[in-house]
Amino acid sequence: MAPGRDENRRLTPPFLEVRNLRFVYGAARAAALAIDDVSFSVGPGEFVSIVGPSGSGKTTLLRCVSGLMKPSAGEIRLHGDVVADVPAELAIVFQDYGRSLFPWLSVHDNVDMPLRRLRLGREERESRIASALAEVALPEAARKYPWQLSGGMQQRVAIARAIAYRPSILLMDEPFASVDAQTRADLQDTTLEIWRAHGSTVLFVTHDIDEAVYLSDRVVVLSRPPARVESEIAIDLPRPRDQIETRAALRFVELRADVARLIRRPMPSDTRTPAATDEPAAGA
Amino acid sequence: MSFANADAALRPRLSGVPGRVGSVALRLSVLVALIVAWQVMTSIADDAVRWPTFTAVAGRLWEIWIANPDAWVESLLPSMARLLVGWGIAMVVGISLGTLIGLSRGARESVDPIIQFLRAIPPPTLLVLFIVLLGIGDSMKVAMIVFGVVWPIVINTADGVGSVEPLQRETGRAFRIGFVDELVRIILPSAAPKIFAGLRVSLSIAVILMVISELYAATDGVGFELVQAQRNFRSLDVWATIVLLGIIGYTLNLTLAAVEGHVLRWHRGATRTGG
Repeated sequence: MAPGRDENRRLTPPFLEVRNLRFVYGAARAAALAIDDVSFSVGPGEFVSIVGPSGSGKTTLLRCVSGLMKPSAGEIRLHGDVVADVPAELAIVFQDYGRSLFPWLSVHDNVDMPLRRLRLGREERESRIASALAEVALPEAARKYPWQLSGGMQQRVAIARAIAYRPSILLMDEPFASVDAQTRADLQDTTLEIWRAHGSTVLFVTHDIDEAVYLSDRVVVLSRPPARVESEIAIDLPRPRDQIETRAALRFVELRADVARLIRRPMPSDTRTPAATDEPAAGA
Repeated sequence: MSFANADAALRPRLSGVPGRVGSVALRLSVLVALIVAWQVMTSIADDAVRWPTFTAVAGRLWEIWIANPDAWVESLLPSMARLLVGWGIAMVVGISLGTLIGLSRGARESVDPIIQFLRAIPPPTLLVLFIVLLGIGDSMKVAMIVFGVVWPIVINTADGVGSVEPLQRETGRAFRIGFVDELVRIILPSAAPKIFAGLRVSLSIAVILMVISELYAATDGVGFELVQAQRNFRSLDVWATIVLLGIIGYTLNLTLAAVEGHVLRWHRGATRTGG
């Protein structure tokens, strides 16, 4: 909104910008600082992952970005506009599909639920539902109920619900944390295909370093709590990515090790130099 | 046995059919055994005034109630109307009030003692008060039913609405479905199993209160006929009418259970698979 305020900013504001975000749980004496000071930005069509040690406030960060939670300080800007409530062009896939899908609705009606608000014609709605279910490889499941499906299939329904909505930005909160390894690999590839087909921006939270490197254009590494941005690492692996080829590539292994080192860093860093990683630290 | 199997083969999707047929047969055999015992013991007692036989009671039930259109119009209809209107009003008021209370934790905590107090008042004792306030007409009877049955609905609805999975409501917010859709498509369906539990309890109480409200200062209704029979020493009519009330209560319960089974299909499946 105010170009020139920050010397590093271009005249057009970034697609998504998180600026000096701070989040405090509770109040007064019981207050706990979850996020200290987090800033990063995401370009249009970019696939960015946020990784960090467990309890580093990744989910809190994503909830602030989505507008579901109000940050204690700092701001989130989408197209330069401050996010106060959930933006219309945003969709979320939660980790806990079992509780975010509605058991009283069929798969079809679960996907349809957010579309009701868009005032689309009936045909348009039906075609969006059908193509979203086809994209997640569940075309036959429309009349079933979520609880009749396996965990991986349920998460596919949650993804279909998000993409049928055609968001320009898709937030995913550890979406594959509670499925088995093979299902996770399949869902990762489905996510990449959808991302490529729709050209939407994805902000992906995970604790799985391999997953973050495999999927992303860029990985934002958070420090131990209270969270700061430890580092940002560009993932210069070629696309399309392949579960076997990409993961076997030397560059993948290097990047993975870089991220892992940053996460394992034993003390909260106040030196903001990602290169210095192996300094022995005094007790935290 | 062969019947159950043929039935299951014809309707393969209802996998529980043979078991259900078996349990119905078991229940029927217990009922038949009790009726036979009733018949035998009353025949031995040979006291037709105080202990009429089953066949005598069943015959009388048929004669004065089931095969008697006048009794349907003059007694059964007014009674059922009071019961269903009272229960219907209680349902609307109870679900609305319960939803309002359930939506806010503060409201639930501050209103709870008041509701517990009102609920603890035995509804029949209110008969005297309601006669003073509303006279002896239908409005008094309906009011008594409403007041007596509304609390289980309020409490269960508030509980159900208050315990909606937070992530489900958050999902609704994340997709900006708006408050009306959130209420109608997330909160109420999620609370529906508990709301139905409240409705079931309140329906049984409604039958009781319908009869009680007709015992005093009434001019028609099944309860009124019961008192008339008793005052005129028509003990067989008393027995027949008591059996009729049992049939009414049982039929209402079966009907509500059928509606519930249909509306909450998802709930049975979801809880069975542990999701």
